[in-house]
Amino acid sequence: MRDALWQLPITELARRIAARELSSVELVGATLDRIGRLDGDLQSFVCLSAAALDAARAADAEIARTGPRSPLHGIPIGIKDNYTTADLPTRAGTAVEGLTFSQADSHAVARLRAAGAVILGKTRMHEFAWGMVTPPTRNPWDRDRVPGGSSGGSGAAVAARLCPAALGSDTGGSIRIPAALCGIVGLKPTFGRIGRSGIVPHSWSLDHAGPLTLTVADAALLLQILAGPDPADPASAAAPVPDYAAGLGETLRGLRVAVIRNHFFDAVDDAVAGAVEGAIRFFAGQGCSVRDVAVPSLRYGLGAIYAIELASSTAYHDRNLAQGHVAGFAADVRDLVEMGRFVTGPDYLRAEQARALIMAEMAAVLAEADVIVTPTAPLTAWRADESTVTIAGRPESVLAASWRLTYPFNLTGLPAIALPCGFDRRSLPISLQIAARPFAEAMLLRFAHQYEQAHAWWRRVPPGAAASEP
Amino acid sequence: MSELNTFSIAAHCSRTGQLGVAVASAVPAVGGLCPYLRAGIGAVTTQSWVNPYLAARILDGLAGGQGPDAALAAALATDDRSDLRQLGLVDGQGRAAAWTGIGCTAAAGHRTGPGYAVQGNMLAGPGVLDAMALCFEGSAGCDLEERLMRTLEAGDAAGGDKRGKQAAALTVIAGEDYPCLDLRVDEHAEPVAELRRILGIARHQLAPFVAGMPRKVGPAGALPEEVSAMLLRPPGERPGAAQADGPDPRLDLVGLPPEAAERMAHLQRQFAPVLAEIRALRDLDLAQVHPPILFDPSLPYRRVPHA
Repeated sequence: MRDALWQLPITELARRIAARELSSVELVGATLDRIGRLDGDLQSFVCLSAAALDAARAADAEIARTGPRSPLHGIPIGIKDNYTTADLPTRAGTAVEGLTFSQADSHAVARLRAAGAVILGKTRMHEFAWGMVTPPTRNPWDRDRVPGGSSGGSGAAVAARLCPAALGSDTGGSIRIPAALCGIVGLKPTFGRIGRSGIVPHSWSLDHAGPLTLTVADAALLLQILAGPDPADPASAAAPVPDYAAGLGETLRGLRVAVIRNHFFDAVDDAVAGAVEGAIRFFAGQGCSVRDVAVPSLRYGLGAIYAIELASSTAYHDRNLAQGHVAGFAADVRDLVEMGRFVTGPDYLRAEQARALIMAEMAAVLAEADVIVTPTAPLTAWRADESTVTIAGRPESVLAASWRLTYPFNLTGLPAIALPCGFDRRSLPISLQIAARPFAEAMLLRFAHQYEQAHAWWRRVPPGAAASEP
Repeated sequence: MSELNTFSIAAHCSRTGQLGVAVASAVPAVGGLCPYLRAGIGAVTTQSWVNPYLAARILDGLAGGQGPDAALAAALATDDRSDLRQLGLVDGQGRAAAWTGIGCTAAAGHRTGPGYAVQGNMLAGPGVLDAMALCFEGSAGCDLEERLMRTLEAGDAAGGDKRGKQAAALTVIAGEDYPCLDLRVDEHAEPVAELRRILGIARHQLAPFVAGMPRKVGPAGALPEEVSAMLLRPPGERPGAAQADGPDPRLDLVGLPPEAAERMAHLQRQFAPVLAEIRALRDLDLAQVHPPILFDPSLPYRRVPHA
């Protein structure tokens, strides 16, 4: 790619497109060329759009006439395969041919197209967004390791610089876990902030839509386009949409950081804990007050999210159970969809009540703080053949460990962002998670941007991604 | 020659190559009269004023290389009262054909699609056939025996035979010259439900036995030890016997389909750690906590369904 275009974040690509220094055709063509060379190994895309170059040509023509519609005009974006699309098939990660999905653009994809973005293709996901490994996608930092999931294709594609951004969905951590394991930025906004109509449901009250990007400023840019009402999503919020980029550069002085010491720091890998403590010291150094707190009701979080997620997913898949389609699901997903039947009605409602306890305790923390800072995952990317790891001397299944620190923000619906905050001794990325009050995305983006500007971990490129460029 | 007023399906499984017929009627022992199957060649059901020779001629035609339509036409050409006959068939590649003579009692008709033919006469209405076709097409993920059983249940639920019910049968043939499953309910007040019950038992107690029987190719051998040990026990003590006395309460309570019975132990093992976490919730006193689920009666007035 000319001038290492593939290394640039959207903010810089958009500047060049607006200044007519770069055409969308040039950018999309170079992107498709890179995918052709690198993705055979990574397997991050399940299909590519045959219309992408035509859309780029149309974008260039319009930009030449009237200038860009938005900073995304002409920018190629990857779409997780559970977002329905008008011009590309949707499989939601399933191989069951009898299951078909709408051929209309999902709300988020329609918003991207309206902003002028070029829909590049669909990225691989764990079947029906259950699971956290996304086979057979590989981690660009180490091909023997998993990219995380369920938005693993989106994580690997952006990390390998195959596209500058991709959409993901997050029910228990499915945007933030692959962002963490692949060393990029993943934003799960407040529940209801981005409309979800047209995304294949997983668990109605836990599902969130959001972007995976290289930088925090790019995440702000995508959120700007995606946020707002969605008349077809009953959970979509009417809250006003502020200018997310406006406050990115503002000082953090005088702001308050809460560190929840229980749950989020129980059994965390030493390198991860060290990097996150470093980030907390950075915020203190910026003039923030830092306070250690506890949220004891997180003790009930796992039971609550299990009951809600299993019961909801099984209810959604009831027709597939009745028609025998689940027999064609991957073994792990079939087990989960069938065992959701064991969650009783009263257990489900108790889980919702327990959720209210956690929400109330988190609200109390955020009454005295502007953000909560935690690790995103207690470990870095694990090998594809590992099912159990030892973290801080305690054996734990990788699946249990992977979402332990992300699901609290699905239960509470609070906005949370994952961003790189260092590398372990194997050169695998470590991730920081920042959460804030409902609809306070601008606040967490500001914290994340300030940290990123001072550290620039995002400029580190996975080994295969740089070496392959001619 | 007797008139059989009947609904049935002849079908082929594209995954396994199995062929099968399921049939129900208000005539006793219908399973002995209608289905004719030949491994790899075809499955035929002959009904209404039954002419069994038509089924044999169709299978001979298919074996000789004729397509389903040609084999059906050639067989009907040998019959001077083809107006009284009803036939449905699939060949070894899943191609279907069917015939409903104008002398069959209304409602009568057939539907064919990839891998199946459904047909019936003296039906409660044409909806019976539509329900059967829809059910078969919608169950592609299941094994053939389960698809045939569900299709019969769908026909039964949609009204079935307008005189009531008396008999039902389910036959599946795989690669051998004998069927791998051949079940009949010859006289019963609820023959389709009874067939479902017997299928549940057969899956546990008969399928392993048939799987161990000698094959066309290879050494005949003996039955595996665990299968003979299972069959040496009294029927009531064998696996699957619990369902024999009625619906399995564990399945019924949680609403899992009957074929999940074999997976219950596995699923419960997988669920054990989840249950441990859920149990912790049960110990909480939450009586004063309103769950964050708010009923909104205005929802249908403001929601625009997604295209």
